[in-house]
Parts: sequence; structure tokens; C-alpha cells
Amino acid sequence: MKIGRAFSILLSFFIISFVFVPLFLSSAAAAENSGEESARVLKATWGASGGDWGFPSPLTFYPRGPGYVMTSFCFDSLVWPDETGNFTGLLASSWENSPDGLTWTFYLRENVTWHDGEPFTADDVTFTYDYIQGKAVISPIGAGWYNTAVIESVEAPDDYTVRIKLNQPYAPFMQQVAAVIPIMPEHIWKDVSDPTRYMEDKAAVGTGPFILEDYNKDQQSYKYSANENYFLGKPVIDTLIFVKSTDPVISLKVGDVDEASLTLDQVQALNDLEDMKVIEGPGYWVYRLRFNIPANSILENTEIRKAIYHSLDCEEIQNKVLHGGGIAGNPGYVPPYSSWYNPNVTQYAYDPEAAGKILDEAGYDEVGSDGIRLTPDGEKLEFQLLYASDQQNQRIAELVQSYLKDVGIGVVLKPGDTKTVDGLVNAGNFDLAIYSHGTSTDPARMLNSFTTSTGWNNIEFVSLANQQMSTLDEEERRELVDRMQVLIADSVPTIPLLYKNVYSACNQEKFDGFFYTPGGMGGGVPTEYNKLVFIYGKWNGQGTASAGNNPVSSVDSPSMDAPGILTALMAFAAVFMLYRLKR
Amino acid sequence: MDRVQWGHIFSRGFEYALTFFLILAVNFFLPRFMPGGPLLSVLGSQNADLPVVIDEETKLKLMDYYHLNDPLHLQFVHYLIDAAHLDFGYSIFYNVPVVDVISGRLPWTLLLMGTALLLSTVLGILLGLESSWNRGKRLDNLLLIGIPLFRSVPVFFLGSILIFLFGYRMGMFPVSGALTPYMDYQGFSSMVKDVASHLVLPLVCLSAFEMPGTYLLVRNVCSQQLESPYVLMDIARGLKDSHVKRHILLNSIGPVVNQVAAMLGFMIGGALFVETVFSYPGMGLLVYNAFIERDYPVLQGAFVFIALFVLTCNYAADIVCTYIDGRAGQE
Repeated sequence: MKIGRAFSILLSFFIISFVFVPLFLSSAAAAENSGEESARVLKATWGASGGDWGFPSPLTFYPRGPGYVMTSFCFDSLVWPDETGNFTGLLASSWENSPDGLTWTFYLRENVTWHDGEPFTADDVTFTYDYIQGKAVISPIGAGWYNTAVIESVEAPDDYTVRIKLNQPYAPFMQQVAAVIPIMPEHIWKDVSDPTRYMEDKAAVGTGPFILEDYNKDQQSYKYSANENYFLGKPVIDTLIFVKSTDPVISLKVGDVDEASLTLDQVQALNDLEDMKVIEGPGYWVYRLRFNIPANSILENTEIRKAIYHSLDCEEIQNKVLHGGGIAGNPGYVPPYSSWYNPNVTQYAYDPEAAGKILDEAGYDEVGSDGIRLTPDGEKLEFQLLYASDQQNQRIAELVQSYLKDVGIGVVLKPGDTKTVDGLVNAGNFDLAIYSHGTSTDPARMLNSFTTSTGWNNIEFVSLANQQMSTLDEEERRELVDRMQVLIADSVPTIPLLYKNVYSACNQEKFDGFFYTPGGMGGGVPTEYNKLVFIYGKWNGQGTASAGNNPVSSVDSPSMDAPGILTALMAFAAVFMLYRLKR
Repeated sequence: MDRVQWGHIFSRGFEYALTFFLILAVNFFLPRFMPGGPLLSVLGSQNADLPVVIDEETKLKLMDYYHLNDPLHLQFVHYLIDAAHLDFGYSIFYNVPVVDVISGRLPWTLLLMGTALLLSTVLGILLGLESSWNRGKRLDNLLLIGIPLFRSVPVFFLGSILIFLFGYRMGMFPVSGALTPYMDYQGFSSMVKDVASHLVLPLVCLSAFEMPGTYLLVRNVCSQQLESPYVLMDIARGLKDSHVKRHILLNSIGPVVNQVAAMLGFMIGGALFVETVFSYPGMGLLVYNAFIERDYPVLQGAFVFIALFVLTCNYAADIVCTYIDGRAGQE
């Protein structure tokens, strides 16, 4: 038949060119037989923010909140925050601090085993602390995520006691160290010299409630199975799966996932689903206006920054950008939902007239023909505003521009990608910038980096910051943190515009029990995926019947990959057609 | 195939090999002439949210590892030897060898782009031929106005519409990913079905984006052929329309095949958008993320693979043209 001639020519041409590449590239992304299907499967997604957070082992996850959470399912720390935000023992059953605050003693839980059956002892704890401290140099996570700098030494007087000596009293030790550092098995890691590239199956062996079945960076998915021998009891689900979803709302509606992290806008798109339970939590995420101080001589003047603050209506910005999914900024920088929040600081109400008055008094009373004020030298009072061009930042930047124009300050928008913005800001190449980032839940972390992240170098503030970090008396510490917030509000080194909330929805027909841990977990990650949820939560679903009985295949032995097979089939067809055509 | 044709194919092959060598050279020398030197691109940007701390000793080790202490021409030789072993270094972001990252993604892109190329070419040829046959009539006008619209609609917009209509409203196809993770396949056919259903929407999206180019080309080439004496002769002989069309198509296939192969390079750009919209785990998404994260080794590795792919396809097109058309290589 000649009719197929033209087609077969085309088909052949492109297929032949394909033949030799894909066949040699076997992707582990291939579909795998999941073996015996478990009865109770919960599928979740972090939503549109992504799905690949790195290999879930203490020194290989990508250094972002979700990466730590993925790791925390397999690994336990000494203590862990529960639903109330208080610490409950995981690998430690009780603990005490010496009167001078320098020595912490942890009494460990007995009869705990690693996923591979080896017994857990105090040696694993001392090994982990030393190992992470030693590898901090080559591992960005080790340096940035685990605060081992305060630790002097760790020793184990016996198999179930660990003594941690600090080099100074450190108030947030529990929140920032004991509840964060995941304990690793010495027998697996003692010979690993480069932990950042160690991603064998064994690298995910911990004591946690879940055992890693599969991590796939191409499909951006994780699969965990329940650890039947978990010391707090068996998890109420058998399998926990995380997948990437481009549109979590659609995924929830069609039942691809049972639970998803969402934005408020997405939550509102869900309102017609009755069996969805939506929870809200503090996001510990701030959008703020950053000034180039002390380099910019105009913005260096505190009065000008106050004028800018008066010209912005943060409540309105929040409404227009997050539609109620957040809280307007607060001059003291600490978000109102934090237990460290101090409401008694200088407030800057939205008042364009007051702003104009300050600017007049500062010598910017001349106004050019375009409505922009002039400096005494006759230059325009105009600033460049740098921001990473995502949707929220774009809206915020445009609002800031129009508010400042109202009081006669010109703003030139300079969008860029995140890395470019960071680079320019770090190099001091900017006037104003919109910055958005997580704010830790503990003042030690939240405020101690404040000087670096604002360029505001205030001696009194720095000394308060150091003092509160080593103040063990909570009342005394609270007083210091209050004073820090007063200082910030008085000098306006940066303007917090708004704080974002976090939301998530879960299908009640499947599972109930998610909560947002007050103060976050892992040093302040605001997430609903506290592993205790899967121990104390409630499974409401029907178990899916076991489908088929495929042989169990491990992570290492993927069946041949789909794209390869399909391509091979097409190639065969093409060659065959080309041959026939020529005959 | 005679000796002249074989000779033509070999000489073309030599040209492509040279081109590829030049691409490798650019890939090697470019980062070395960038401010900050090659180490910076190995370690990522110093302004990243997590600057990599390295001490002098580590730095020297790294310099040795990358042969940065050797003269440049020796470095280049080492680079070529490594490339021949598919060693493109380590990804900064993923912390695994670049070739591992790419090999997980390449098959998916080949699947998506291959099928899209096929679909858009076949459709483009059919519509283009009809259009030129009916020149100036209503059908031609409709097609001529309608089809380029697909090219002018932004890909991500079209993608969002497809997601909303078919993924959400009708629930016919999955809207993201390349397969259902951890689905329990009941055998080969169910796996193919799963992969195919994930492929549908990105495929339609990418094909719609690529098809207008082929359509316009085919329409123009065939319109030129319509003027030729042989067409008049065919019609005079009273051949059926379908016969005449086939003659026209066979005589105009050469430029189309070449054009389609040349379009591949641009198609990668389209694939980048489509893969981003549908979270399809191919090279496009990888390059996009690597750019966001400033993962230079991955970008460079992807660049080499993409270049190799485009060159291979062009070479294959040359071979096919020589095979079909006896005149090729005899100028």
C-alpha cells in the first residue's frame, strides 16, 4: 500500500534518530511494582511548591523545611514537639539541665531498634552529635540546619544516658538542638566520609515511625511504609506517599491525593467539598521591605524610613495580595501569633499626611512637575525597588510603588529571579528590596541574624540579642526580647509588610488528625506533617483491597522503563515500514 | 544506495561531528572565561542562600580533581576524556553525578517530543496539503486563519485551559507528572495505559504549538509544486485527486523533512514550557530548575545532551533525504 508511504517516511526519520539514545538510558523513574499493596494508604502533596526535597537522610535533604520533614519520618531526635508545642520524649524518655545551664543529661528509651534490627544505644547519640559537628564543614545542611556550634562535648556514661556539655548557656537548646538533630546509626555511618553524597538505601535507616521504600527525584515522589515496631506504637496507616501536584485543588477533587498543603485562594476553591477538613496555621513567613542601610545616605535617615512606613497601608496590602490569608506586618518584626510577640511597641498607622510632613521637614519639600519630590540638590527623590518576580512579590511591589508615589517618592521597579536579587542585595547594589523568607519561631534564630539581614547595626540591640540567647530564666528572657522589639520598632531598620498563614485540607473519609504544631518543628518549620499525627491520628477509610500479587521488587530493581519500551516499539515499527517502502 | 550517496552521508557525518566538537569546546571554555573562574560554577554562586564553605585544602583538592592546575589545552583533553565516559561532574543542587540526573529525565523528553513531533508533522502535512489543494477557497482561508492561532496563544495558557477542561471538568486525563507514582500495575498494558494517559495533555499542548510551522511550510511548498508541469499532466491524464496529491507530497517532502529536523531545536524551548506547566519530568523542567538554582554542571551537561540530540536528528534527516531522493549529494 503506497498510502502509508509519506507517513512511514516521516515516522522513520524521527524514530531512527531516537533509537540509540533512550535504549541505553534506563531511568529508575520507571514504574515499579509496589509489591503487596498495603491496606491503608495516605497520599499527600505539598502542593504546587514542588515535590522533590532531596534524599531523606540527615545530611542529604535539600536545606528547606520540607526536606527536613521528609527526613523526620525515618529519623528520630531526642525529643519532639507534640500538639501543644511542648516537648515529648522520642529517643529520650526524660531529661534534666544542670543549674548552671551548661550540662544537659538525657535518659534514653530502652529496647529501641533501628529499621535494620540493630539495637539503639547512647553511642549512636554521641556518634551523631560528633559526626554532624565534624561534617559541618563539607555539608551546607550540617552548618545551616543543625546548631552544633554551642556544643562543647557529648559523652555517654552508660548505654542509656547521654551528657551534652555546652560552651555557654543556650536558652533555645531544646527547640534548636535536641528536637532537631536526627540521631543516626553509628554502624552504618561510621565509615562514610562524604555524607552529602551517600544515598544508598541504608542511608535512610533510622528509628522513625516510617521506613523509606522509595524516593524518586525525577517523579518527585516519596513512599514510606509503616515501622511495625515503632516504640510509640504502630502508625495508623500502612503506607505514606508524597507526590508532586501541579494543581493540588484538582488533585484533591479527583481523589489523586487525600491531603494537601494549600494557599487560602486554593482553600476557597475547595468550598464545595464537604468531607474536606481545612486547618489553618501560622506560616512564620514574612514579606518585608528591605533598605540598603547604611550605604544609602537618604534611607540611612531613620525619619525617612518612618515616613515610608506611614505611607504604606499594610492591612490593605495584605488584603490585596493574600486576600485575608495572612496578617498585616508589625513594626516589632515578631509576628503576632508568636508567643514572643510584644504588642507594646511604636505603631505606624497609615497616614500619608504625616509621611508628607516628615518629608517636608527633612528638606524634600520641593516637588517636581511629575509629582515626585526633589532633594535639596535638585535630584528626584526616587529609589529602585528590587524583588523576585513571583506573583505575590509582583503585587506587593506595585502596591508599594503606588503608595510611595502618593507621598511624592518615586519608585522604579526592578524585577529579577531570586538568585539575582539575592546576589544584588548581598553586593549592596540596591536601594529598596522586597524580601520574603521564613522567620524562625525562636527569638534566638529570628532576631540574632537580624543585623545581617537588615544592615542595621545597633550596639544595644546586638548585646540584647546575645544576652537573651544565654538567659535561661524565661521571664527574664521575655523581657529582653520585648526590649529588642521596641528597639526595632523605634528605628524601622526594615518594614515587615505582611505575614503569610499556611493552610491544608484533608479528606475526612480517609484520615483525621492533622494539626499545626505551635512553634513549628525541626527548629521552626510550620507544617502539618508532624509525624505524631500518623501515630495518634485516626484512619477513617476503607482499606483498599490488595490488588494482584506481584512479586515484591525493591528500590534497586526497577522493571524496564516505560519510555524506553514505547520508544523501542515505535523504532521497530518505523524501521519495518521504511524497509517495506523501499521494497 | 550507490557510492555517491554513501560518500555524501559520510561527509555530512563528518561535518556534524565537527559541529559537536565545537559545541563541546564552547561548553568547556565558556565557564572558564566567566568572572569568578570555573570553581565558582562548580561550587555554585557564593550568593546562594547557602554559600558552600570551603577551606584552602578542599579548594586545592578540587583544583586537582578538575585538573585546574594543568595548562588549558591539557584540561580540555581531560574534559573530552571525561565527556566520553559521560562524566560531567556533580550536580550542585542534587549532589549526584550530572549524568544520573539527566539519564532519569532524557527518556521522558524523548517520549514527549518524539510523539509531539510525529503528531504535529503528520497533522501539519495533511492540513497543509489540503490547504494548498484548495487554495483560495473557503477551507483554505479557514485553516490559514485558524491554525496559526495555536502558535500565537502562549503555551502555558493553552496548557492551563487543557488542564481545566480535560483534567478537571471532565476528569479524563491526569494533569501532572508522567505516571501515577507507586501505582500497582497489573502488567505491561496497564503501565503503557498509565504512561499514555499522562502523556495526552502535554502532547496535545506541544503539538498544537509546533504544528502551525509545519502546516505553513507544507502549504507553501505544495503550492509551488501545483504550478509544475507534471501536476498539469497528472490532471490531464485524469488521475484521481488523491493520486495527484501523493505525487505532490512526494516531490515536496525533502524540505519538509529538513525543516522538521531543524525545528527540533526550537521545540526544546516549547517543551520547556509544556513540561513546566504539566510537571512533566523531562529535560525542559530540569533545565528550568537548574537555571533557577544556578546549577551550572547540570546546565552544561543538559546543553551537551540537547546538542547531541538535535545534531543526531538533523543527521538522520539528511540520511533519510538521501535515501528518498536519489539526487541528493549529486550537485
